[in-house]
Amino acid sequence: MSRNRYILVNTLISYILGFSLFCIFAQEESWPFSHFPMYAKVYGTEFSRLRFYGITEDSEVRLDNSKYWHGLSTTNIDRVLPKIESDPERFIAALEHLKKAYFLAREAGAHSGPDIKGIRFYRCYWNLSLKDTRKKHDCHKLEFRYEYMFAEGG
Amino acid sequence: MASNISQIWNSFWYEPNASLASSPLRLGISRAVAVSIILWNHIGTNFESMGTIDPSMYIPIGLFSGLGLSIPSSTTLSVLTLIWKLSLVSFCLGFKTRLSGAIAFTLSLYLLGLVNCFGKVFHRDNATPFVLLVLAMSNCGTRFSLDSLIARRKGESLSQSNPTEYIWPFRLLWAYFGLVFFAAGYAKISASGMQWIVSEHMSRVLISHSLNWGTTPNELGLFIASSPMLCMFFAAGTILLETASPLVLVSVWARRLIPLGIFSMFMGFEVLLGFSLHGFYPLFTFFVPWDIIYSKGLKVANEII
Repeated sequence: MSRNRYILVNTLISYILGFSLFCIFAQEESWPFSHFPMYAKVYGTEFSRLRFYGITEDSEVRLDNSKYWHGLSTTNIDRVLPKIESDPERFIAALEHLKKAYFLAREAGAHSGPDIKGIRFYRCYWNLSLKDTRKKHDCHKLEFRYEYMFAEGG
Repeated sequence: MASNISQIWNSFWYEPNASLASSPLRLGISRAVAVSIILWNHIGTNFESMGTIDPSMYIPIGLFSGLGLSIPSSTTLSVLTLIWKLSLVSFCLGFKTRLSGAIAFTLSLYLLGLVNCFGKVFHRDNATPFVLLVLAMSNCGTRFSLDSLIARRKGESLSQSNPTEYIWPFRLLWAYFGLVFFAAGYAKISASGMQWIVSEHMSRVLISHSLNWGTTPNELGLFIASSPMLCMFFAAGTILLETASPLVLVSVWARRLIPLGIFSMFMGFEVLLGFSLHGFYPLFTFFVPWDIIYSKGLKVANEII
């Protein structure tokens, strides 16, 4: 191994090990390095997720599946919206994007959902108990979060 | 003192020993298998639709904000996806190995990184860029590759006499494997301590998967969730395996048992939680003695013929 290559390989080894160790002990996330914190915090008795509904003429239809959102997963939406809600302009642009994504996904054949007039979001709370699960209980509390009605002809 | 450290370092990363003999063949087959898995994981992945996402939803990870990268157009993404997949095929076959490896690594960092720029950092593909980077920088194309076949036809040999070139890639990927799973175990202990094992956490994780996503493919998860002893057993086993994973660097037995244990744990996630951590599967290939399997396979094939 030449001297230059020896230095290059040692730099690679030191970088991967050094930065990985830094992320582990500083509990830092710097993709693709990570401290892999999935499921590390003990779950409480309650669990919540954002739930999406499309507003039709006379009812609501559940849209909590990534197939409706053309390139975004429901997890992405769940995480992005609370992070940007303090910026009204950006928040409206994001909701407008979700409208576009819904119809783009339908056009692409990813789903055959109805024509919707708007989107409504609720935070859904579950009790993490076996009793409720066995009875196939839905969430025990549905808390209204956001609603976005599409502009006419938009 | 400094020369002692340097000696230990060199002996650890570069010197062949009984447990890892210098083997260009083993590295070549490991490359082909690991890259095949990456290709299989992403054969149907479509990055193109990310090009339609509004910038209002873009929350770049450090790598992207540091480089000032924004969301590219759908056309750019579909072209990059095509180049990425072609480079993976070429790298897997060992054709223009160094170049195809470099392209595969760079585009994996970009395309798989972009997925994490919309509010949530997913961990399923963290290992992919590392595997591709280490392989691209190694001499993994000197055996079991089209490059070596082409060279042989020309009467040349690509294999280097320097055995050190075939040791460090394995050691580095074993070290990365050990750090990844140690990190997961350490995060659990530092965030929750013994509560992670003795509380109802494991049971609640299993319940949350069946409640919210409905992805649990059978009732086995709920059966385990109903037994505090089983939950404690699996939780303790998880922490033990994860925190012990750096032992793969120093013990032959650990290299046999820990990857097998963690692979079984991954299978458990698929069955109990209904999700796959397929992005980590390429790492397991570097623990398999492919050269021995290949030689034995060849011997059996010759006997049959």
